[in-house]
Amino acid sequence: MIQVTNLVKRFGDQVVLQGIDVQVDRGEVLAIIGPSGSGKSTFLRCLNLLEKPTSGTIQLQNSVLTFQEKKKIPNREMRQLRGKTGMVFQSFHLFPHMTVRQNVMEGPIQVKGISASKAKSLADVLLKQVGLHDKRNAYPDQLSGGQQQRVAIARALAMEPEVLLLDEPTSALDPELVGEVLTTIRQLATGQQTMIIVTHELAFAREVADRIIFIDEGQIVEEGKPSELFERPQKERTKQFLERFTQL
Amino acid sequence: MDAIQWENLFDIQLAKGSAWFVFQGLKYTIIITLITMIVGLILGLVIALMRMSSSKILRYPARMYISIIRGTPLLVQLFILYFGLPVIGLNLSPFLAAIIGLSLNVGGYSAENFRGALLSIPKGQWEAAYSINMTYGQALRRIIMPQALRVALPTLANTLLSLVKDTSLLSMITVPEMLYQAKIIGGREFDYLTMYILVAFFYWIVCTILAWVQDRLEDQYGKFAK
Repeated sequence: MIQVTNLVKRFGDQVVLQGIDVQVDRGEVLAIIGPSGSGKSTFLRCLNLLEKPTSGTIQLQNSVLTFQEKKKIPNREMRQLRGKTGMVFQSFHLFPHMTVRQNVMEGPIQVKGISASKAKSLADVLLKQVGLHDKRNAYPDQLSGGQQQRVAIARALAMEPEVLLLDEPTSALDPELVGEVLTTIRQLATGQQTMIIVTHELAFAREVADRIIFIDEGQIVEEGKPSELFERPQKERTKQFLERFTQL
Repeated sequence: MDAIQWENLFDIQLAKGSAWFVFQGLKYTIIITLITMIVGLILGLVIALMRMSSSKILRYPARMYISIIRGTPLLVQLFILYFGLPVIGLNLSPFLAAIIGLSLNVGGYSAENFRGALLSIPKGQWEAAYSINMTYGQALRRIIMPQALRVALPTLANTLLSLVKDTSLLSMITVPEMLYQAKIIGGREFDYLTMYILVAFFYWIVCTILAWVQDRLEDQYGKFAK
């Protein structure tokens, strides 16, 4: 369903991604792990074009975009691709001037043009799904971090994305709030939602992902099924990285 | 030096008798302020967005505009429009010259207010808006502006209070606003002091009302904040 070919991202002289190839099937949950600054978040942000790739190809179903230096991609094509993705950010980025339900309704109404009453019932369904229907009239700053992140997940799901991109969804949370967000993501994984998750929660990645990619210095070092990658890492770099975590 | 003549400080009879005449000028003050406020704020927002654009063709003219407006006296700008332009055959009525001059002025100052406010909104808000596939216009209108307006409100209110008071400069280009009216009577009755105190009082009332409106608006927009 998703096919990324030779994706390169440079910021000035700094090469952040040096040719990434990734394929994701429908319904698959892909976890991306790696040290800080390895480019894993940048990769995710390239997929919905919050960062414009320097070169390479991204294919998402029938949207195919090929990037080259100095080549301008028409806005319409960028939005067509982006419309198939949803994103959950590390620090939530809920709209503070809207209630929880308005946050979820905003995209469907403004972007998809569905009626307010349909958007409302859609929002109610999704808020029940993430367990926050009773908070529907609260404002984001009245919620805990974990609750905000679950609303952010509902907001992304409201656009019915083909693939949900999660950028370190639990990194900004207090330890006791991580669990509720992981539970929500786990539910999505058992459903049919295709997801790409950048995470530091290795135990969670292992449990929930169908496949894991280890990225370091802008390159894929190793990929495989969780059991293979965690129990029998092939590359020295992967072993080092995993050891550091298991020692903790 | 003679003793100060306190009895001439304020002639209540004159003030009462001429209050209505001066009050006539308030109509111009209010109409010009309202029109200028609307035109100026729209202009200011457009200039702010141009100033923040990644395109040089938009950015440089906006910077130049802001620099000129903020770097030259409003009175000189008004003189150029009203007394200067007829030299090249452009005859503006006092009223039109006033609207154009003040709108350009408000535009220049509020552009910087807007820019500061827009920059104060975290980049993540733009990204979140884009992530649900909003266009630039939708993100600006639905997500960024409602938050930025709240930030900008106190400084915009200051700009608008200045605007009310700056309308007094229009007396210099023969717009019959409050100060102009007060000067007429002051000259006729040889009592400028009473008339200027009276007109100062009127400006103060108008500005106090506006400050009250500002407080209400801040309460309104502040709802989502703790």
